[in-house]
Amino acid sequence: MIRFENVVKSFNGRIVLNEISLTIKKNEIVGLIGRSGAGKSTMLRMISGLALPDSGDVNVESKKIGYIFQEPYLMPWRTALGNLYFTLRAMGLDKNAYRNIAMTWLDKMELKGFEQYYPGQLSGGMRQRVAIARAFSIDPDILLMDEPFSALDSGLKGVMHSLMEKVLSERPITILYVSHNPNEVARIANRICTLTRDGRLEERRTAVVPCK
Amino acid sequence: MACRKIGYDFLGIGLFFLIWQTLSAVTADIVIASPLSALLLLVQMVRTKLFWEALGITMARFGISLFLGAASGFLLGLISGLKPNMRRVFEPVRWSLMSMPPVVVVTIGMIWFGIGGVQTIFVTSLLILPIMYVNTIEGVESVDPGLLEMGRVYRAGSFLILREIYLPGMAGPLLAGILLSAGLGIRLIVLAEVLGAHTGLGYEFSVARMNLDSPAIFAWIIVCLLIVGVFEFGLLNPARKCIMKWKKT
Repeated sequence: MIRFENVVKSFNGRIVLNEISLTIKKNEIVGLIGRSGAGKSTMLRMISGLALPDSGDVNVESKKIGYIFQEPYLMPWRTALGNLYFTLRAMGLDKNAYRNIAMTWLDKMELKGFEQYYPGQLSGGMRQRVAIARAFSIDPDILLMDEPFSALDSGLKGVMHSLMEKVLSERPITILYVSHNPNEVARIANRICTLTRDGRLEERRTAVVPCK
Repeated sequence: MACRKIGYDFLGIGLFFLIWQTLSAVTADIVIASPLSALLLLVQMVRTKLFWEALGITMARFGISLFLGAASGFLLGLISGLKPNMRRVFEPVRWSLMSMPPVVVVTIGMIWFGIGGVQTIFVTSLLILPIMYVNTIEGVESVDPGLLEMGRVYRAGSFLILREIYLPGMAGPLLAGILLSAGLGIRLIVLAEVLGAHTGLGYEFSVARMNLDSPAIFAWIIVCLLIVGVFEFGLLNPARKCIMKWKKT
């Protein structure tokens, strides 16, 4: 479970998040939309511990957090497999299980045969799939998605969403999915929140049936 | 394509010797010895025990100095790169070392340590240090902040982030720093030996200078070039190819 309680955050004197309160229940998928600079990514950064609120509290039940960034952020000097190994090692998972876990997730992301490829040898979509595989490989309780498909063309976005839906149907996860495209978020979210210009959070239920 | 590249390499070497030969032809032998006389003398020199002793001593000093200077420059650069406040603390020392003429440092080294190997190692490692320091800071700053955030999100420890993100990300500037340090290092070792040692390659230089033995001076110059050449093309370039193999992809 994730809980924001009266969270305030400002940058250079400008209040970006204004008394935000939000509870995301276990295995719930929440979409967060808003214009650029509205503070969507800041909320994700607070959950992952990369940023702190000026006031208020952010409570996160689990430390097993997967994060899919807008950019894949793969280490160019490590192969696709090596990039997954890094996260598994960082999370302190059993060394003997690295290979199996990494291979399984690369396979699920339809990257079988590309395990030993360096990121520079992969297309943009494939790199993002490696990043998704990396996020899922740690068996996260929480998944943070920061406009993960915004750099991809519409055809590829569809493929990526299908892959995500397939994975989420097998393993429910608490997700906060940030985007400025409501249609993209509505595809998998149970409910959608909007960050307004004055830094407030407005909530509405989606008509879309979630994939889980 | 590869043959053409090698052809250009040989063209460069040929041009170097042609200019050298031309200069030696228009000046007196005592000013610039011809390449042939220097090479013939070098062939004679390599057959003597004295040559290998001098070379061995200088190489040992070079190796120790390069290690001490590069390692301490790297460590201080890493601290300064990661902690900007420490960079401000070290800045006057960096500035002083980079601004001070090497001959002044040699003089100080001779006063502190006397004539001999310790002085040459002190001078060389001290002047190599800021080069590696600056390159290490540049390396730290060139690391992708997105990768560091990714590492922190997945709760990677400091050592893992250093080993898996910082060091590979800094490889380019670090290797450039080592190459610059090696080139400067051999020059400084020879300078320090010329001015304040009774052994080594630099000492042989000073003996050749006292005897106005121009072919010997140029033969020793070739040796210096070969040392840096072997270091760069025999050690550093293969290491760079191995470390940076991902860049070819």
